Amino acid sequence: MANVLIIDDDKGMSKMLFDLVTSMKHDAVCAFTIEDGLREALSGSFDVVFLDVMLPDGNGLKALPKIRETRSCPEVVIITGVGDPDGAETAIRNGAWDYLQKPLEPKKLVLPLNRVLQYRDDLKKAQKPPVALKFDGVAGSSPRMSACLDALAQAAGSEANVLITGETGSGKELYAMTIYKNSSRADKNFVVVDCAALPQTLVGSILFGHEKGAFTGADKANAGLICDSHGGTLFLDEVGELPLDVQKMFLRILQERRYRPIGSRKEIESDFRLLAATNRDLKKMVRTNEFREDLFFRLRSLNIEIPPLRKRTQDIKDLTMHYASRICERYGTETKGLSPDFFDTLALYDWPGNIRELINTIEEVFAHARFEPTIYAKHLPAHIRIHAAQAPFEKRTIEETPQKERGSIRRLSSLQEMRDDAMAKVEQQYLQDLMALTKRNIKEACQISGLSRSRLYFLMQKYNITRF
Amino acid sequence: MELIYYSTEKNNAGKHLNSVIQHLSQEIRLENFSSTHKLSLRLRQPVYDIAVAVLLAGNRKELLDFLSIHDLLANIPLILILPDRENDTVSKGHRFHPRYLAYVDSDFSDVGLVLEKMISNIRHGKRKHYQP
Repeated sequence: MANVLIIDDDKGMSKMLFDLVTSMKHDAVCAFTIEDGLREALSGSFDVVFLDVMLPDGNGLKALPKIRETRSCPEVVIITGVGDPDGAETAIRNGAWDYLQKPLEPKKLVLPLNRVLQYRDDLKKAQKPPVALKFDGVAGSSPRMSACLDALAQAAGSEANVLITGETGSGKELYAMTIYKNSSRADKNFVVVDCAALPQTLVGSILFGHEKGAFTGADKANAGLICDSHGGTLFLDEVGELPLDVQKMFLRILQERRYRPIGSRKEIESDFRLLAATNRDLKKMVRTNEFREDLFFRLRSLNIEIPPLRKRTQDIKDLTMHYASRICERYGTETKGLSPDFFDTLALYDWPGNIRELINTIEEVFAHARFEPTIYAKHLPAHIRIHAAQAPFEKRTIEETPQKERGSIRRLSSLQEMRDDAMAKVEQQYLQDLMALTKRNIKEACQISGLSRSRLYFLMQKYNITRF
Repeated sequence: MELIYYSTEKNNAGKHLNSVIQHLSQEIRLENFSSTHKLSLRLRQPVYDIAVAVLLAGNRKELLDFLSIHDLLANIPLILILPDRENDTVSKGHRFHPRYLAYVDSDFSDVGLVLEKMISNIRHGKRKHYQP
């Protein structure tokens, strides 16, 4: 028996869904606003949520990620009377199971509902082998991390190509190593190819190897990294930096599992498991012809997207304790106490450099406070403490600022901060004017502004501008 | 921003590597080590300012010495130069997960090019080097 939550202010539709679900011998709960729906989702344990888009207190699509992140990670079916392609795209990208347009007849809902419930049932019954996976350094218990760890486990148990995406310093190589260490190829080589570090003139010979005399300077034969990875794992870091001609050659290897070193007449078999990582937008690079589409699809049989640290601040404490312990071990010092204000300050910072920046910061702090038994916020670098101190003031808008304060300088921000603030205000005003002028017609708004749909949606979300 | 490198000038390879790396002295601070003990002492201090490490294993013993401290090199971009091309040696080399692997019988012009690219990437923001 499943639990279904219905979030729709249309009482007729809610009753229809309620009657349908209960007639199928499942439990149902109705909510008529986003606020009520979220309260139910957080307090209950639902398998499926039917979510309307146009609700009295906002856009249901905005609540979708929060609903998905609740304890039971329910599947969400969007139901809307005002369907459009952009809304459908947004819904699917945010993890919706399906996107249905009203009016809905009960008999047309039975099949989709049965499918999603069958999926939930299969998930519960799935026999996951009780393998103790090695997750050294991959720490965190936030919902986003739980999803990543599931994806890691799935990748480790298969031979599929994996594309790991995420911002700089988010731990892409660590994830690749974790997949490798938990795979069936853990006893073979893990070969790293730093595509960004290799000069374009050398990439081909480094990857595929070459014969002696194959080109000027090739005074010795070289087996190449693909040969080194035979039987093992090949990790292409910063795969977006591969030159197009090398992409073409590499694609052939993925397709045919054979290659020819430069200057050689013989083809060699290759058997490696491919992992790749990038912080670049490969889809965009495909559109601008900087990356081959066929290679892109080959790379991402499985895709793991690592969330930036600022979006999983609840993991900062676990990560800090893990790396603090390792640093103390390396320095040969006693484990230090970490005060609550230290963690609070860390959680307020944006971490543009993600985990790498966090590790460097901890190291710097421990180096300076080497002989102190406890670390406090005061030991942190100034820019992190300033950011934390300013955080409570960031939400204040210019309208809230008393008139007499507007002309005065209460504090002097950095020039970059002033520029960023000014740009944000201009962008926000422009978008509000644009929506008013086009009556929220996205197509027309894109034409006038010159923005792509995805960029426009990104900015609307950034400045909390709704379509409705 | 710092480059640390290990080489002993007992052989031509060490001298060659030194001359390649010295060309970069205008762009980056250099620190040379010729004993694994001193190298390990350095690696037990803060390493956030190390942009890249270059280790030349002139023989298998030196490679094994590096392996004994390879945990200390975990978060440092590494260029490793191996003493030979035997399968077992190459396998040991890949355990360091180096950014680039070279061999002692080369002229290290490739190492120089890779180092220049890595330093350039950091300078132009393509590879962030976060110093607190």
